Amino acid sequence: MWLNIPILTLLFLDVIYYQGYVTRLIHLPVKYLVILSLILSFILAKANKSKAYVFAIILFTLYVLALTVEGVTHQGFVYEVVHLRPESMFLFLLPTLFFLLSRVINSKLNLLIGLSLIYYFLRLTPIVTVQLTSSTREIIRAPIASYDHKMRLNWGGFYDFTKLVNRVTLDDSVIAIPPRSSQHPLIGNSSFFWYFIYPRTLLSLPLQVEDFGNATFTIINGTDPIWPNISFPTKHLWLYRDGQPVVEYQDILYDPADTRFQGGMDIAELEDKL
Amino acid sequence: MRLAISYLLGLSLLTLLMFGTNLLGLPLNTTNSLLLFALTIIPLIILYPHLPSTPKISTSPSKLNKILKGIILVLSLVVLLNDSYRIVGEWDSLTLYDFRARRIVETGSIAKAAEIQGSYFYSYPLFTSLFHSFTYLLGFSSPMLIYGLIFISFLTIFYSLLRTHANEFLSLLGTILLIFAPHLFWHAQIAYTNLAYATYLSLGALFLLEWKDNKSTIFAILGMFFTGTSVWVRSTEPFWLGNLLLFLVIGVSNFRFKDIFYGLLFFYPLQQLWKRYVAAMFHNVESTVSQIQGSVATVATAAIQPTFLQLLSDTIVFFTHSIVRPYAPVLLLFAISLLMQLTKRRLSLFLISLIIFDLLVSFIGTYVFAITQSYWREIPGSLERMMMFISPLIIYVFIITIDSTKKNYGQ
Repeated sequence: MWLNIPILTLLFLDVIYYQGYVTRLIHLPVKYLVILSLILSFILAKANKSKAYVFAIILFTLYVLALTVEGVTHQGFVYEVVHLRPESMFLFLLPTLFFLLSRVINSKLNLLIGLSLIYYFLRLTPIVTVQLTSSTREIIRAPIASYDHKMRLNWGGFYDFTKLVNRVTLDDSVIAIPPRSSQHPLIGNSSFFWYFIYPRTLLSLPLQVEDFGNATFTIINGTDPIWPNISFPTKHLWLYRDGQPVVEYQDILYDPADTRFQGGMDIAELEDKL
Repeated sequence: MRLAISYLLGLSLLTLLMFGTNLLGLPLNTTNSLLLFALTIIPLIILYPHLPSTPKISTSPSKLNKILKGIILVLSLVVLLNDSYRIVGEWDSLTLYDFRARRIVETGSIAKAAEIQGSYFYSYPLFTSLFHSFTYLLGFSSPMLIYGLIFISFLTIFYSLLRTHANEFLSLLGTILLIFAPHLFWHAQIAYTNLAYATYLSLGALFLLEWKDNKSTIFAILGMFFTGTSVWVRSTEPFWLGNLLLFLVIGVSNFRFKDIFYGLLFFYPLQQLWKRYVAAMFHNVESTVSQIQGSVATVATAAIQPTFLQLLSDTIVFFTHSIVRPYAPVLLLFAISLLMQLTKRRLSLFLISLIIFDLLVSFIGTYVFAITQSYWREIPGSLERMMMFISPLIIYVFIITIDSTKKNYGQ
């Protein structure tokens, strides 16, 4: 027991300071300390403290509470209030809870069962807690939110941009989009973009645009590099920037070098072909 | 348990009826959907008294069990609350599942919806898309509650099946382990197919194990019908094969040929349904045998290339990253179960073999995928989600093993 206490105390320092503090202090990865503590608890198990499990349950409950509070507020909230880091608690709690278990149970097989359950809940509880709090937080914030509000929560400004596209184009419009690539993950994925703007037709063009084919509109994606990267005259052009009013131009020449078109998402109506 | 089984059976029957009648020319509209719903309810009412129920075993009330029940109840209610609020908003559901559902509602026809979307429409069977359509046709704005109810039905049946073998505390503990199993809780709140797949496939296997002990034909039918429905949810994964082998081994070794006939009768049409439909749509008349021959030849040719060892090593790294690491807590339970069973020399041979078989299939499948597809590294999340069904099987064997050691914790 007295061999384990200093190790657990050392592991607790990471919870107080930061993850990696102990490694810097002793020049040894923390996982070796965790393994050493687990082995000591396993070998030296002695069931003489029947109430140790109560302390273990309290510790685990506090851990879940810390995760929940962090989930409903913001990351770093628990540290700001009590100077403890929930994200560093796993490597402290795993050997600590097992140590407490080794004070209640003697049987080696039962200790292994206990260890597997402690590991299971410590690894998976944070995930479930985050999932639980992130969803319920939105319900509390906006209990009667509209479909648009919920979609905006999922897809941010991109959703508002799709609403703009629906507003300024007709159902039978053909809209040119960039090719599917990491530079255009949302707008370039025709299957995805289509969900929002159906029944309009999407025309996926290459990175180097030469011709807009039968498209009547085109998307302008102001990422770096900007797409499309050629100049062309437009009948209408709508600039969309998150949280700002839409800016509309008429009969304007689109130029990829023009800074107005960079860093946002725009839609332009192409001039009729002769 | 009867209500939970009825719900899962009903979802399967309803979507199958919607699919079948629409192909025969019945348009999918509100009136017809209600008619099909009524048609689904009738066989369920007839079947209801014959369905297995939760065993009623009287136990002395325990404070700890009450706490565990409270945790399960709260988490289930949170799932229902979140689902009543959430909308379909995740990538795959927008690009495929819900897109198909909305086109089916608009056109009233599966064929017309397929024509609009093109070949991508045929990527996965229509199970989730059709129940999305059903909810939209009835005027609901979101189908998410159906996912929450699948999850709760899953928990209920899992608990009841455990309870027939284990004490109340362990059965409740197993149910909580299931709630916390990787991905399950989250997938009860998003519109992906993985939760339904894991539910039908793993419960199918557990019903078959129950059939081994219980000898009642209803378990054989449920086991194979649920396994077949898993193919109706996701047809690309071959894990139904494990359940089928389990079914045949149990049936043949116990001379239950009548049950084998009934089981196959409820399984084979479901297993073939989507494959045949897609083949018919693409006028693909290639026989299964020649398809297998072609695939084997492709894989065999690639496997003897000089790079195969490098690819094998890459697959091991990828598999470790996508399966072993995220499922480490569950796999640790499996390792402990094996250790306990070997120590006690009392092996749950069928279930353990099935789990090992499924893990092997997933590894070999990943390797074959790596050989045949250049983009194989781009889908780690998909592989991880695909294996959700393994957790219930492992948790089941873990709880049964602890119970068989007759050391009743907490009681």
